[in-house]
Amino acid sequence: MIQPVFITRHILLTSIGVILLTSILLSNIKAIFQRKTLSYLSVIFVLTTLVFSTLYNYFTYKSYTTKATKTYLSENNYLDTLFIATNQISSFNLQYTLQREGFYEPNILSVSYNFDVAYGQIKERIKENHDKACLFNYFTSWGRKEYQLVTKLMERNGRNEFYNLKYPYGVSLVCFKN
Amino acid sequence: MKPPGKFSLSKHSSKLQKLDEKIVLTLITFFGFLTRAVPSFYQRLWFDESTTWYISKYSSLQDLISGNYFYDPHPPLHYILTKISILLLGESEIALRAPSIILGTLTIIYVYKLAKVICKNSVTALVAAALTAIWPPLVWYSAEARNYSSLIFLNTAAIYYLVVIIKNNYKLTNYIKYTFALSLSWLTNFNALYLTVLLYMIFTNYKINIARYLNSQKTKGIVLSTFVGLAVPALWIFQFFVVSKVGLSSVAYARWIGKPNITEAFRTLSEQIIFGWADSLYPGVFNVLQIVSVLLILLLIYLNIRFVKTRLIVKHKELYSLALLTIVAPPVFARLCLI
Repeated sequence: MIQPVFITRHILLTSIGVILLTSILLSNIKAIFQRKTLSYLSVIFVLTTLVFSTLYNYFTYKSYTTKATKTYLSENNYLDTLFIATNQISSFNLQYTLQREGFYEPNILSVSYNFDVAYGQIKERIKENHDKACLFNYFTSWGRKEYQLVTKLMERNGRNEFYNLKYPYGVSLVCFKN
Repeated sequence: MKPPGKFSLSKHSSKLQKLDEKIVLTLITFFGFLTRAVPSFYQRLWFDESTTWYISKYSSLQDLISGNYFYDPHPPLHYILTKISILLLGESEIALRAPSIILGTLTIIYVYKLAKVICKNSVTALVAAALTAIWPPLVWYSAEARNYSSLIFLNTAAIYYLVVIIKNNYKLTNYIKYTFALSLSWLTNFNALYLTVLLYMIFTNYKINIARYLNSQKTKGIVLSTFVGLAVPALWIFQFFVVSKVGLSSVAYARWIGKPNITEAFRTLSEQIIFGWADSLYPGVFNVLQIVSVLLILLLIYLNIRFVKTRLIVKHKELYSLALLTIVAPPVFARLCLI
């Protein structure tokens, strides 16, 4: 699912950055750096950006998958749940995370990139004896329409949404139970 | 006869300076190692990294070498390194990221060596090493179980050995090291294409233009090394995309694979240009910039060949800067934009 806020911010910041850097490179660099204050300021700016950006790595929690699964599993039973990963690579991520959390036989259904096929796969599997079914999403192209279709399918099979976790990078865990 | 006191003092000072330089470089490298290793301990794998885990764990060495693996269109060298790391250290995050951390740290040393051979100034070389140690995208990629850190290391090594050769050190070992580094970088990630651009910029920076360069007896070795260095990856690419066609399935974008028709192809393409792939980690504007950079590079090569005698190329420094910018800016800004 594409997140418009992220995109706008990316394009805006990138455009500003590229325009600034291009204009600096295309102008007379020597003339700019002959002014001492400006050159000092530039050095301070570059170094500050470097230090802050490096520190940023330490405070960015890359794996929202762990956060989502831990939060869910703290309140729900793993064995009752069928995890449905919305594409193959998402399923690798979920499989690795669950294994690291100590679940060595991850109960994961990886569905097709093609939503029509994915819908059929989900339809087939939710009839199985699982009290809960969770849709795990990471960077997929599923939109609101696709989610509505799956939600209706779940409702028709006697399940209702009871858990909805959303994180950056398009990570989400939407769960349905009997 | 030199005064004994003065002689010993000078010798001592020079030794001390070298020792100091080594100590400073070691400290910088160790700090660089820490910046890369620490986040690798506590960060769980994210989306892309889990592909590395899956491919390295579930593909045999034979499959990796022959290109018989899916989900990633890049060559197998980093997967082979990760497989070895899994065998030695297990499947923890740090084990999966170990190749990136080690090669990312070694990049600091190679940047130092490269800066020193170009500038012949210890302070400049140490500053370059320090910047490499803390440069955010390098730190980020070195703490990631993906092939970018390996690529950056091998690129830097290839450029270093090339510059050493250009600076009149025509030892056979330098040619061999350059050939290996070039070849291995192409066997790591197809973005090694940008290495070619950097190499081209080195040629022009050292006022070696292509036409004259090819005729030179002294530098024929470089051409031969480059050719040999590219031959092995070329064979692998041919096998991956043309013979087995496995690579093709990984290159196409997700939605188009699901619905392989013309409408969907146009939709995928337009989204790629406008929004970028998968929730905009690399927004579309970067893709446009990369296309522009390739066009600029082609223009530069044309200008260099066309105006070889009139040296008109010197007047096109802005184009070089812009080409370099469009290549360097996307990953830097993509990461900065996440703040």
